[in-house]
Amino acid sequence: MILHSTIKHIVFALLVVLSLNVSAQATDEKKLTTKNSDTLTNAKQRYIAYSLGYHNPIVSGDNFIGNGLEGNGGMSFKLQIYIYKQFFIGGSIGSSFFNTKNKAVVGTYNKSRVAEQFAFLGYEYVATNNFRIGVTASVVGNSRYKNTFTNSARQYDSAKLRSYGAYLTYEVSSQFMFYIDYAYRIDKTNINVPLALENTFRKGTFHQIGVGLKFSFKGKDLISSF
Amino acid sequence: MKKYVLFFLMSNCLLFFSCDVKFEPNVRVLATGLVVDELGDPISGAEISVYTRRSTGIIFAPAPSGTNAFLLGRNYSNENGEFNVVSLLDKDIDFSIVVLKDNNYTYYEYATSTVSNVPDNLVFNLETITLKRVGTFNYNITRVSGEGNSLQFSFKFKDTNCFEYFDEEILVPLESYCFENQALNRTLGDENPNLDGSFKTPYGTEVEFSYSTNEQETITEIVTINQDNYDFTFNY
Repeated sequence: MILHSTIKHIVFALLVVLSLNVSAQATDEKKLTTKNSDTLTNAKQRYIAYSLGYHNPIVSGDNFIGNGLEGNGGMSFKLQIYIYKQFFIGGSIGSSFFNTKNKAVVGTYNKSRVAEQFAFLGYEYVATNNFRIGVTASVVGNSRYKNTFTNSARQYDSAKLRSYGAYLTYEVSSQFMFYIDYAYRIDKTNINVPLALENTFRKGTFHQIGVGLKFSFKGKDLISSF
Repeated sequence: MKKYVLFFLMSNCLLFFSCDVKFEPNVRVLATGLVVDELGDPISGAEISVYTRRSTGIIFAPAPSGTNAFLLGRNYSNENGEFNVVSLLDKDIDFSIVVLKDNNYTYYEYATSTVSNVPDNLVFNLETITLKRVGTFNYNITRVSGEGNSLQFSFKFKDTNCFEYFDEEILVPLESYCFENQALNRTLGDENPNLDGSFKTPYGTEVEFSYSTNEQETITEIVTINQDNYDFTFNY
C-alpha cells in the first residue's frame, strides 16, 4: 500500500515537473538553451506511436503472485496518441505468463496466463536527438487470469489493474525506435476468499522489465491539429 | 452436411469425455483443521488434499478414478498438527478432502456435495482428525498334524479407512463409515494345508481369531494390536 502510494506520488511529481518544464519552455522562448530544446521538441513532435514488446514479469510482495508464482515472459502491444505536445493517452493489451512455484499458496494449477488491457496517460521528454524518456500511469484497466492444470482443466480469476511505468527509447530513424521499459503492476483481484486469505489474495504485484520496437508518425499533436 | 458433422463430433465429445473442465472462477476456499494420533499427539507432515470428481470414470469425464487430475489444493500439517489448505472450488457432488500420513497411519476422507452447499465463509473446518497408527498383523498357519486334518478359521478386525459424508456440514451416518469390521474366512485342508499373509489394522483394536479343527467346537482367541508388526503363528 505504501509502495503503491509512493509510486503514485512519484509519477504525479514527474508529470508535474515535466509539465512545468514544458510550460517554462513555452514562456521563456528568448533563452537560447530553451529555444534549442523547444526546437528539438517541436522537431520531434509525434502524432501517434505504437509499440510491440516482450517483457519479463518479476514477482514481488507478500501476496499470491509474490509468494505463489514466478514470471515466465510476456508480450504487449501499446498505442499512444499525443494529445498536447508530449502529453499522450494510450491503450495497452498484452499477456504475462507465470508458472506456479508454490501450489500451497495459490492452488494446484501449474501456470497462469494473465491477459491484460488498460488505458494510460503519459508524458514523454525529448532528451536528445535520439533519446526520449517517458512515464506512464494507467487510468483504467483489467486483467484476466487463466489458471491451467496439466490437462484440459482450468480456472479463471479477474482483477482491476494499475500500472505505473517508465521507458527510454532510442530513435533509429524518424519512424522507428527501440525501447526498454519498466512497469510496476498492481492487480486488485475480484477473488472471493475466506477472511484468513484476504491479505494474500486482495491484490497481486509484480514488476515488468521489457524491450521492444516502437513505430511513430511525425505530425502535430491532436489539439494543435485542429 | 456440415451441421451433421458438427453435431456428431459434439455428441461424441459430450458422451465419451468432457472436452473442457472449468472450476469456479474467482473463488478460493480454505480447508483447515488439526491432525492427531490416537493418543492425541499432533501429527506433522500429514498430507491434506482437496479433490473433486474423484469417482468419475474415464468414459464420462477426463479423469480416471483415483488420479490426481482434479486435485484442487494440497498442503501439509505443521509441527503442531495444524493445517490450512488453499484450494480452488468445483461445484460437484463429489468434493472431498483426504487426510493421510503414510502407510503407518489410518486414512481419513471428508466428502460432501458442493453443488448447492458451500460454507458461507468459504472455510471447510474439519476440526480434529484422528489418524490412528496402524499395525501389520502377519499370520502364519501351518499344519503339523498330518494329512486328513482340516482347519476352518476366521480373522475379524477393523479396517484402516474412515470416510465421512457431510450434508450442509452435518455428518450423514448412513453414508459414512469408520474403521468397519472386516472378516477373513478360510478353510485349510489337504489341498492347501498352510497359509500365510498379512493385513493392517489400527492400533488399540482387537483381532479376533476363531478356529475349528476337523469341524469340532469353535475356539476364539483375541489379540490387541499395540505394535507396528504383530507376528501370529498357529499350528494345527
